[in-house]
Amino acid sequence: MSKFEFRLPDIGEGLAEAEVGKWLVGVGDRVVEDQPVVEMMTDKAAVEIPSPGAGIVVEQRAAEGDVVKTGAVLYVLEADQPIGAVGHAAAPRAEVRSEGAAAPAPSESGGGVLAPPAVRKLARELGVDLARVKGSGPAGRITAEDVQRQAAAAGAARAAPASPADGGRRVRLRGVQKRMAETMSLSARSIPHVTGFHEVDAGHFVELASRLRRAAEERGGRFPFDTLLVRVAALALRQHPIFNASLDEAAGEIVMHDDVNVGVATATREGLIVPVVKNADTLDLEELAAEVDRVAAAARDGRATLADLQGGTFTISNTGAWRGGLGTSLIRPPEVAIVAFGRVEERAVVREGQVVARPIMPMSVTFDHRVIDGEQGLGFALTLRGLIEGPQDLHR
Amino acid sequence: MVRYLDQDGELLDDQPMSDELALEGYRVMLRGRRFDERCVSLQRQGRMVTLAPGIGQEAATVGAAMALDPKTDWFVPQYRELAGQLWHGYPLRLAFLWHVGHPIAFQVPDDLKMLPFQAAIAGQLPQAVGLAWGLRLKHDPGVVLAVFGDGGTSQGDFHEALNLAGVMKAPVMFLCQNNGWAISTTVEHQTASASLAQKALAYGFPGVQCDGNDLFAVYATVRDAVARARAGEGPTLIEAMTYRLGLHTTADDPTRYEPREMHEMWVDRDPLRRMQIHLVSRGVVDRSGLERIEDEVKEELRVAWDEAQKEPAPDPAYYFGRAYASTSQRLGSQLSRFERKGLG
Repeated sequence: MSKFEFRLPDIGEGLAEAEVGKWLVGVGDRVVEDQPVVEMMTDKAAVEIPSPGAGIVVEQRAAEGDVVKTGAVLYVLEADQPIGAVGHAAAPRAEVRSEGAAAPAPSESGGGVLAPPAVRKLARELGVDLARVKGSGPAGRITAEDVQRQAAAAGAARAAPASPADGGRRVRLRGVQKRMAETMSLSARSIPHVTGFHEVDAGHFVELASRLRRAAEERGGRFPFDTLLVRVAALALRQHPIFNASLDEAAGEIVMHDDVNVGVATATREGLIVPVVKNADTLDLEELAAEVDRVAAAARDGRATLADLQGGTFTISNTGAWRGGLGTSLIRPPEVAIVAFGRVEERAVVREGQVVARPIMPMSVTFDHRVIDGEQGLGFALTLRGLIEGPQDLHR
Repeated sequence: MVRYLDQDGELLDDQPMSDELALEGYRVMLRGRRFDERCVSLQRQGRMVTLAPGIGQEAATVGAAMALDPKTDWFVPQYRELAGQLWHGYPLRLAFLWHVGHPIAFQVPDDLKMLPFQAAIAGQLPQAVGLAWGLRLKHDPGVVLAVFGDGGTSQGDFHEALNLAGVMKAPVMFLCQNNGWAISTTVEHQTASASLAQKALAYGFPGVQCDGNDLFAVYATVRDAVARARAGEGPTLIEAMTYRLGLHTTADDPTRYEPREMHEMWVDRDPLRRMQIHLVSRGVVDRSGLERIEDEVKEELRVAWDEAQKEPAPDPAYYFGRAYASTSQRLGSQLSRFERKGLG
């Protein structure tokens, strides 16, 4: 038996670091040579890292979600046979960057400490040196209780609940959520947003949508409500090309797009995703319904391809399903506008001196005031309103 | 499209080679497959550099190599035809050293008629034509097999090579492994031509399409092209329709662009499985025989990897002596500076 520290190799081309996606083998588990031990996520790929030999994984040095530098120890293998030097000998020793590692972690001198990542994290938080903890689990494995007992005994407990300011559960930003954070920060920081609120009579619009949905269902198809909203946006964008543009800040130029590619903000389990309906102005209604349905389903199921998510020139957001009302939106840079629709509900409105109940759709039009002025903004909103209130032009 | 063995391992025509040869061909295909799988694993462990596996394409490269006479004929590779090169005589030990990045792997043994690997896409094609033309001028009976991929057909070198080969009637077989992908670019995005084989028409020599996952089809097609080349009738372009079942390279993740259904469709067309079914149903080998071959191949790989690991690391001075027949003055002064001061 011999201990082998497995260091993260450069599995890409000049890879600096990678994120631990998933441990495929637990601490204490036996592996054979070439058996995948852990899945690592690089910028380009999710890659399974196989074991260089047979043995037992006795220690994981990083938890899922941790970012590990190339050359840092990922896990320790108690190998049946000595394992020779493994490539890239020159790779620098590097540290694992761990979530919530605010204070310098006490050194874990015992390389052969048997403890799962969650327990290691707890030990770091409580300031407990795992090498001093006697494990009560199978094969001396250290449990959370062991760590807590040790912390209490050493009087180290003050380190834990005594600092409520940075207490609470910490969740690292990852994946879709991380991208949302970046995009929205950039948007709020760099774009002077102006939002106009409108209440639109959607009586005919809703009737048309129901009729089209029934017709589609009779044919065995589907007709998502968003189809007509995408259509409204596409027709309005053709009349107001400045809304179908982007700002190239570096060049100091406005880019007017030839294609009308409408993004549809979609809530998914992972977070906000905006799949794009390409050339929305050129598809007939049936094609448009199929494409809206396809991209939304792909986004929700996590199957959206890069092509489905790129190339947007404008975004719509329909919050009706969640009973959304009037609200502001953030523009997705480098786009210059976004329109949000709320839930259609009956409201008391005055028509020709009489109070009547009408289905009203809340609508907010948000634009980048560096590119679009107030008059243009109202003109665009007026076109949207006209298309919704007199929807005969949508059906062709 | 030329085809002998269908997707289900059913023979559609007379087998164009003996059973013994067919079994030997299968063995080398398997060697290539297991080698690539092993190397991907070793790369993930940090023991190898970036590499481009040929998983799924073994019939295309081994079938073509089987049509050559290794005593007279040359194999000019790109980098995704190792299985065929193993048939031609390239040692497994060197193949492992190639992926470790050892320069000795590029030093083709003297008795082997083969050029080193070429990373520049289609860069080997003009060289192959020069080699073939030269053999003709020397009245040498040898012919040249040049292998490249579908992406290679978009390179200028492809045009220059095929054009000159047609004019000079150079004895060269251009084997295009059409594996569907140039990294993530599909063939449809690569060319407006209905096929790659039809490009030969423009150069004035035959172009043939064959089932690249059918060992017999590739063998018979290249064999006929070899006969033409040897008879002085000039080059042939062969488009072997195959599929990359693995990664473009270890730095690639095909799940980002490859439709899963497409992958599964081609898994059903796996050239190895097709041969297994054929060989067993024909009674050439039984299930236990296949398992024995599997074990033997595994052992060969183990021995070769062990040997490869014993190879001493190269002296950096080695690199100065390999690029030119004689050392230029500039290179010589760099070498002496290196010897004085080392790498610093």
